[in-house]
Amino acid sequence: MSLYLSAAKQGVIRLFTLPRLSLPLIVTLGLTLAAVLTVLAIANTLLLKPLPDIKDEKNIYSVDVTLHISDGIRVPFLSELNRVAHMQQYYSQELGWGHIQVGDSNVEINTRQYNATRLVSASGTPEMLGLDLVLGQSTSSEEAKHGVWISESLWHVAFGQRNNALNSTIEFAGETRPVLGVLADLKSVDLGNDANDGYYQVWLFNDPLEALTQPEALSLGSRGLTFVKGTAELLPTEESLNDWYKDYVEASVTDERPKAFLLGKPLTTQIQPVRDAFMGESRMLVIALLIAMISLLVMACLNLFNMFIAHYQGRNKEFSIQFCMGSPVQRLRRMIFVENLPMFTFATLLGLLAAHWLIRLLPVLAGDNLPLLEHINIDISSILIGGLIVVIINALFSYIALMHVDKHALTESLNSSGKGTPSQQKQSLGRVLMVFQLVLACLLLTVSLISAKQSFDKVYRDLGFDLPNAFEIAMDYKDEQWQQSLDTYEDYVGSELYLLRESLAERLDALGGKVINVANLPLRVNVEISAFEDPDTQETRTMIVAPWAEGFFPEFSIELLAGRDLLPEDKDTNNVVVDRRFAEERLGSKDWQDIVGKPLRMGRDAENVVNVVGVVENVEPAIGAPIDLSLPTLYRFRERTGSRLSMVVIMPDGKTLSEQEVSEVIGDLDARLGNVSVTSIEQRWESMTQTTRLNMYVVLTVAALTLILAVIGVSGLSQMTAAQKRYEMAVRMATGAKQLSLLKLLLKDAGLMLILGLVLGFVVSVFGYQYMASLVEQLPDFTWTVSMMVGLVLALAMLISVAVPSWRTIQSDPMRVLREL
Amino acid sequence: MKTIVSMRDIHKSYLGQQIETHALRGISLEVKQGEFVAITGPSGCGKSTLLTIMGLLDSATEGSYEIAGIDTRGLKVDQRTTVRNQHIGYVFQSFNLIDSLTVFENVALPLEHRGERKEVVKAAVIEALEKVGMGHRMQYQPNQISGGQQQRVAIARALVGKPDLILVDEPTGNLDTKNGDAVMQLLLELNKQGATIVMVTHDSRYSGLAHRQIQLLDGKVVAEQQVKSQTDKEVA
Ligand SMILES: Nc1ncnc2c1ncn2[C@@H]1O[C@H](COP(=O)(O)OP(=O)(O)OP(=O)(O)O)[C@@H](O)[C@H]1O
Ligand SMILES: [Mg+2]
Repeated sequence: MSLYLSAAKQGVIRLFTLPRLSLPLIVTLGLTLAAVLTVLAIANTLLLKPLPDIKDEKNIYSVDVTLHISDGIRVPFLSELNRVAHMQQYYSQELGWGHIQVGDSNVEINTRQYNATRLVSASGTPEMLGLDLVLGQSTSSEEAKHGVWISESLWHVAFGQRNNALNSTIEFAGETRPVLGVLADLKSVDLGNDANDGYYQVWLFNDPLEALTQPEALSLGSRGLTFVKGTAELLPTEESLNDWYKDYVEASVTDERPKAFLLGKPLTTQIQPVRDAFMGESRMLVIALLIAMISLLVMACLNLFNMFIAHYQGRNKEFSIQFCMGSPVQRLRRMIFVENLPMFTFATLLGLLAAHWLIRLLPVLAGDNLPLLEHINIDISSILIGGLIVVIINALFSYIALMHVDKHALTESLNSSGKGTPSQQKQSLGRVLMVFQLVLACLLLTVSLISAKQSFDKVYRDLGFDLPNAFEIAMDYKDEQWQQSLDTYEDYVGSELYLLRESLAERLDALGGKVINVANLPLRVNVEISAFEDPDTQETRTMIVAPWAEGFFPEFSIELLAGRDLLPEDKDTNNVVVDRRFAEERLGSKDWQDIVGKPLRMGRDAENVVNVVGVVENVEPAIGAPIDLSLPTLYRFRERTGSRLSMVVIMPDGKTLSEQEVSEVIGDLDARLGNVSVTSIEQRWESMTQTTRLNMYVVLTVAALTLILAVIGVSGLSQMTAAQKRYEMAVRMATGAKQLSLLKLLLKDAGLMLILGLVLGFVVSVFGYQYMASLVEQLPDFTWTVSMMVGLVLALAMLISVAVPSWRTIQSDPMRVLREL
Repeated sequence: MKTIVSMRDIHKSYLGQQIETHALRGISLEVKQGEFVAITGPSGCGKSTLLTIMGLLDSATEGSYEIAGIDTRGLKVDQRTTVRNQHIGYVFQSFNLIDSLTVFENVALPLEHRGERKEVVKAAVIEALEKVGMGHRMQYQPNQISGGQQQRVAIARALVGKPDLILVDEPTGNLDTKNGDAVMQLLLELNKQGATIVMVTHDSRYSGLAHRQIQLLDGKVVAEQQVKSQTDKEVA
């Protein structure tokens, strides 16, 4: 026992006396372990642990019916309660149903405003999902449709968790409603950006049976989530959902034209466990991260293995003597294990600590990409897994450290002429490991750089317009009825909305910039997409309808390609400008200019004809949007009310606008407007590209770590080789070898390993990537240029990693070895 | 006779962590072509140090050293290597053969570094190994042959390039009397054939066989002694 005790003591002492071994081990192993533990904790929360809010998730499914309007445009059909209510009647009565329509709303509680998510639901939905009722009454009660339920988080901030919330009222959408209950935060369904807003949720409930009596509104596009609960045999199948759809459209849509439209569109139906629907792409992301981090850990371990082998080869004699004295190899291994325990314990502690911090940083790092971030933590199982990983690594290290101490090696070392200089020790293991590591590095670098390149291309692509010093100024509508009434006009010019915008523009003039009377910057948050059937070709045309205002094209440098820009005189006409995509879609890529002067029918109505006066260059209206927005665009002089009243101002260079400054000018425009906000075009660009840029940085960090690990590994191995060959090099130098020829010798020595590793790595990464891309849809296409570059950079880095330590050894007067003998 | 080695006032200090060891304190000596010089002295007096400087394995702290008329001061590492390769053969006290190479390859090293053609190398190596009586062990690894045999291979390596000067450090130190005598016989033979030899030994039986004995004490030459009729002498 005392043998082990003294080994442990040795190990503790070595922490300080041998920093060359202990420091790299603790840091490398600790940090890679932290990365692995973090990803394991994420995987545990997202894939394994029960969902925090939904109970009995095994039996709850999400139902989707999606209509393909055109190539890029897919809209959920189950967005209205009456459709879901019909479905409920269609299937077995033993199934439970739930439906939530998601929207945004400003709510006012005790004169304070909150940005909340509005959940218009079928009564009983929270109960069916198993959401806890913290306070108040069941959502199926009689009064339900007159009141609201709020989420626990909103209750916290607005009422300080007081029970008297139940007697209060809240204002929203121009109405005052009593709070009837408090529900647990709904977290495990995809509510858009809700999680970032702190789960402030306001629930409204409608009776599905009542909804059944309402006529089909023929509206598409809002977001609806539909859930069904029941045993597997009773659940709707994806085919039966198709049948339901036909049934529903036949029964509920009376008009022939929309009926034909709805029945003519392709449909996808899906029924999947609620967790799968929620995780979506995150699952693949987590698995990919897990693989990447484990690869990094393996690479780090391979490096440390080499260091260990070097260290224990240096102590070969010590162990040979122990061995001669009759100590079984097993006992020596255990002694090494104990000796290394303090070092590995430190590494584990560092790993756990770093993982803890990494997890705290996750909201910054992962942003919208991962759900349930606040539920991820380091728990007992993470600690156990971390400990287990480290014990396994230590055991492996101890095993390998003594691989060369056997009878054979002993006699060999006695017979050696090298006076104990380790001139002959085997390095084959280190080399095989290094080849393996190079292959891994190649693959990891290829995957990460290809996706980094994709992100880069996405973020920094040509948008088709310049980014001048532009600001979007917006105000909330406090009265929703008024807001809706603004949108109903015969002619835009002269309408209430038109006049409101004119007076807003007039006031904004006082800011000293150039006011452009359009609602949005060219980088838009909201895009109006119109789809209609072309009466001539029967094709569905999808396009973006964008408002035009004087100065919009020149100020943002959107190039006019043919015809002319619109003029103020065009206000009362049907004149429009289209973009090149639009023109090409109509007239082909050769004659697209001919569209100028042509009248176009924009639907079946004879009146709905526009006259194209000019063609402008294509622009990208958004970056990182979930759907492809590279659609034909039509610019016309007409505005929509939108969710907020907004307008663009371009300020002189270097001049910024503050919300206060703007409020002073427009604050008293109308009592029904409030909450002025100012967004610069840079802010818009940054918020639009944030996720993609972050992804890029994370992926680039992984790539950099990979490269660093590979460089450390190979240079460590070369240093070891050079040190072991010091004696041979000294003899060669004494017999007349020049420094350069010694370098060549060492390079040649490492060359085979490097070439094998790089060639194998290149082949594996080319085929491996394509194989992975066939499994994971999100992976971008394979790019030869990136793959070649990875090979080249890695080859160069490896060459340097071999040459530098070798050269340093050669420079350090190797003949000293001979003089010392 | 041509002068092969010409040393003037050579000093050598080793800088340790704390102490500075003054190993050589002003050594001047000359060695002429065809001479057989023995360097003797008590352990630690600086014999090996002197030999490594003579063999350009190390450089002196002070003083000038010319070998075969070449001034070695200010030579770069590679230039020293070239001089060593062309003019000096060194036999180490501890043989210093490379374990991973065969006997043949070990002996071939100086010629290979000189860039000789394969056939030339092969012929010279075989000749040198035959000369030392190791022609039958060419494909062995160094650890498969005995200490005396290793010493003879080391000598073959020193003479294969036909250097102007062969430096030998304690050639018999690791060997028994019989093997030691054989190695000594071999050196005398080589000297007879024209090789200039400087040998370090503290065995007076062997030093007596040289033309000239140089005795060191505390890094200084204390005595020089010409041995007249060495041709008559034989190894006892
Ligand atoms: N690398 C070194 N660093 C410091 N001192 C050294 C070094 N090499 C030799 N010395 C010192 O220089 C002196 C001469 O050493 P050297 O090896 O030349 O003696 P030697 O005459 O060859 O002895 P021996 O007969 O035992 O081989 C000694 O005092 C030794 O301690
Ligand atoms: Mg000596």
